[in-house]
Amino acid sequence: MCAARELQAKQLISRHRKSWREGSFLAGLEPEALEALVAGRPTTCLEPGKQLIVEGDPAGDVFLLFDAVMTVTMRPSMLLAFRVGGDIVGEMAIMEGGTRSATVTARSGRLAVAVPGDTFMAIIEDYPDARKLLDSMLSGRLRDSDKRRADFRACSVLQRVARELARLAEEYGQSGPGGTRWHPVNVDAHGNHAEGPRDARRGRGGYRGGRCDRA
Amino acid sequence: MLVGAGVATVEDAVTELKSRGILKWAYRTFEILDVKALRRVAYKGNSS
Repeated sequence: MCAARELQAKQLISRHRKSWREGSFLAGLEPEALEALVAGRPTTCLEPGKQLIVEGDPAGDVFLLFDAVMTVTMRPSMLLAFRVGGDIVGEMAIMEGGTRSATVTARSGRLAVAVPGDTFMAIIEDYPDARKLLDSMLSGRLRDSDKRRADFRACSVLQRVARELARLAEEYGQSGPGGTRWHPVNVDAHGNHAEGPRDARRGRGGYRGGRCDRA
Repeated sequence: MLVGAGVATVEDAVTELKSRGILKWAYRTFEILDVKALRRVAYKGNSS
């Protein structure tokens, strides 16, 4: 690896690492693997409303979220998840070899690093711990998805809303004297951006309820 | 009483959680005022 690129990657990582969500993919990666992923890659500026990934498009890059709050949505109007600094998006289509399964839109934040899909997988294969981490992350997402499906059949709307709020608070919340709080990502019921950026360095996702009719 | 009986939409559910003092919902911020109570509603089905 070129020394200048390596140094630049180290500096970029060092600037953002503290803000990454605990338990996120990037936070758990061994430094060498992370530097190999980042060195020499283009960064993407995340303007609110910018779509990094569009459902149905062919697979391309994997994005490493350095400083971001993103929503993951599926047509016609389903908000699936939030992704924040330390998370990655776009890996599923690369692994499956198919098209993008959802749209990923910036709500606030500043920076993502784009890694070509085949390069991402090659580097991950070079580091066995990174591969385990990726498998573990995907397994966790599958488990979450199963839980939600079970909730949908078995729970009342009130319970589902309470579970979703509890989950968001656990993942992104910020404890304070008055309770647990998180800063909102301004999205409407359809996952559309509504307002300007918030401070994503705190790694807080959020949720604005409004007229959302899904839980 | 069935948990959430009469709660048909997300909006109703949020209103219910607010009325119980569990959730405070300002214009740009959610605050969970009583995490334990929220978890009771979420996982134990306790309506009180």
